[in-house]
Amino acid sequence: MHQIEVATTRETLLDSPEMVLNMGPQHPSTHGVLRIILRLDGETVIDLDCDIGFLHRGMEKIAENRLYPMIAPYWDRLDYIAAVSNGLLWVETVEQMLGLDVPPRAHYIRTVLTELNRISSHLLWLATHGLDIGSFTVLLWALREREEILKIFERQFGARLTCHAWRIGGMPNDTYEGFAEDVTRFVNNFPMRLDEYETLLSENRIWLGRTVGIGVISGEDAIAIGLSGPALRGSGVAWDIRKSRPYAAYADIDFDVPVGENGDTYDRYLVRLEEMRQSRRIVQQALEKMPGGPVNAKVPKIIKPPVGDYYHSIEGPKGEIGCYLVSDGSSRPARMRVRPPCLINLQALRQMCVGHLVADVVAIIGTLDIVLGEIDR
Amino acid sequence: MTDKPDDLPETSSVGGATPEDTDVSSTRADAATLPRSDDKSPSPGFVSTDAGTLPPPSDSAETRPTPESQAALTGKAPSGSSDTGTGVPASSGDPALSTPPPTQETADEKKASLIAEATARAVAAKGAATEKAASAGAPSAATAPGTPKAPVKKKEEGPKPADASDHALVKRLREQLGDAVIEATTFLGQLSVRVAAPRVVEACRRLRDDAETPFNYLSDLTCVHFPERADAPFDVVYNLYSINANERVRVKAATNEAEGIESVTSVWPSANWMEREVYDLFGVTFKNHPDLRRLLLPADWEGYPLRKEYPLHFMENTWTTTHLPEFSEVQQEQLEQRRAYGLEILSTPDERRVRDLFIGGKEVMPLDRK
Repeated sequence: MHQIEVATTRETLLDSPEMVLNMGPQHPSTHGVLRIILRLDGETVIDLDCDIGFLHRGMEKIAENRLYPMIAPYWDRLDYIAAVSNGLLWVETVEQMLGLDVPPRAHYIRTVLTELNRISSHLLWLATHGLDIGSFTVLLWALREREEILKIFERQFGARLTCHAWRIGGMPNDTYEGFAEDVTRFVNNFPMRLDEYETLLSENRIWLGRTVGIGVISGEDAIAIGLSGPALRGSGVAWDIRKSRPYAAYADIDFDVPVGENGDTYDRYLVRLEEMRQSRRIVQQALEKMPGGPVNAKVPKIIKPPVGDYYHSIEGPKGEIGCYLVSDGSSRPARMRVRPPCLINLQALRQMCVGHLVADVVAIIGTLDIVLGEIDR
Repeated sequence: MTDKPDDLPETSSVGGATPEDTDVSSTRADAATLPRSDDKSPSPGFVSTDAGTLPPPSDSAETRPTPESQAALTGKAPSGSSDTGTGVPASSGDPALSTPPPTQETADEKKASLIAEATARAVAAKGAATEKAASAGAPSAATAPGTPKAPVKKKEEGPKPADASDHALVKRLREQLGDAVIEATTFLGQLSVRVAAPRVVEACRRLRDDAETPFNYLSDLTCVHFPERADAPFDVVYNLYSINANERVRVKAATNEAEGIESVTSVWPSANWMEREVYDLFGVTFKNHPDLRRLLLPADWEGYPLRKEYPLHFMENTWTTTHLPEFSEVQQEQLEQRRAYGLEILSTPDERRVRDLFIGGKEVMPLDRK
């Protein structure tokens, strides 16, 4: 029904005021290999269709043929901007199926690093979103702060993006020497940087013109179409899995869930900025409360979850990232399904874009904060 | 002498006056590479058989400074040895050249004794290893069948799905739907309700409009393939969430390829792409779907990759022959060779080794293998 038919004959092309425009897959503002076919009337979008799957690697199929610990690195390559979050979901799913008691220190370290990952993911979103809409400076500034986080990751995990951060039952090793100092330094400097971004953008006339009233979606529509994460909270729905079903150490930590009012691109921008401030609060508290002790639970040598199925989801930077795991009692999953937040958020693109200009499509793709590695899996 | 490299030290120039100019240049060619690559390598002054018999030089050679070794290598004149008075190889290497017969004999004796020692040690080690293996063989053979059993026993003791007919939500559903609710279980605190496939939309609508826990959010829709179930191999799984009540429930419906299942896009529009994905990867058709096309794979792809019988390795099909560039002659030859040997295409030796660990769905640990 939504498949766009391309007018082929010359007569139809000339007679009709409509035009079919192909955008992508090699397009800088589609944030990856996303192809969008737009049906336009002048410059207004009438209809659009997304063509995805260019990065399809069959990760779910691969997982059915790997041991449980061997699957963890594949999760890093889903949403490669938020590898630490994805890895956390995977190890927590398996741990909860096995019924492992992960020591509290591991939970707190996970909380700190996952929140840092959320900040870095939001910073990259801000950088690219700003670049798409025409603010080049924010790209440089946001990447500068992101670099600090990646340096911490490199020292802790040995890698910047695909960290393979966690192991089932805990962590590969405790925090490195000077970890607390590094994180504290970042946490202390970060509010000043956020204020800088706000002075650049929040009251900027161009920014307001490009974001206010663009891609509006109401709370009910957002729930119906399946939006989650900051994209949903921008529409005023205060649903955050960190609050509603706390995992890791979030139950002991005090933070707020920012929500928007209008459900437009500007509100989602404000929500994400505020989320970065809240993430900073979480990191600070988790560092202060961090207990000592071991970082690893006692894990069986061969990991064989009990026969059955289990669904676990966490609040990733992009939304609800979930894992549905079916175990047949062997050392490999019978089925591992990734609930990809970006894919389901991208569904809303058509609804949000229709009636807007072509240039706004770029802004709306940016505000949905998609990563094609996760969409295609 | 004239083509001497710049990096050679001054001391080595002493050896330049010897008549064997060609020899010197050849050894110098070695000298350019030897000291940098491997300090332990014996100097050319050694007879090759001698090199192994003298453990002290090879040990001390590790700490030997480079210029000295270069001097020892290039300097054939006796003055070279006086330069490297502290260096052991120079002092031991030069006598080997000047007075070979006596050192050779002693070296041979030493060598013989060393060899004897080494062989004795090797035999002893081998005997110990075999004894150990023999002694460990019986218990390991006894425990080897035992170790796989232990986890299996644990699993039987482990959590199992429990009947959840008493759950308030299940009771409400049973009142409304009657027989359509086939079974309800809880596993690890999660509630699953299996409903009859023809009435899945009705069940989903009831759940969405439920008075106490309105499941207004479709978290996930996916499919699981159970090839052993002949009549209904596919479980379509709906993971629902109630944002207001913070509750989760899972709905399952079994179906097969011919029957398909009703689409729930009328209940949750978000099911659209998730159902397309299931159709794409499992081949389950969704009736009344507004736009049932492949989502991730190309439109003209054949087969459904997430089915269990779909092979993991590369497979040629109509799509690959029409869309991928043709193989070159060499690639084609390699392909045929690999096929002739029964090797899987596109898998590295490492991968094959790893896959060897699982045979017939069970791990074959290295101990079990012959």
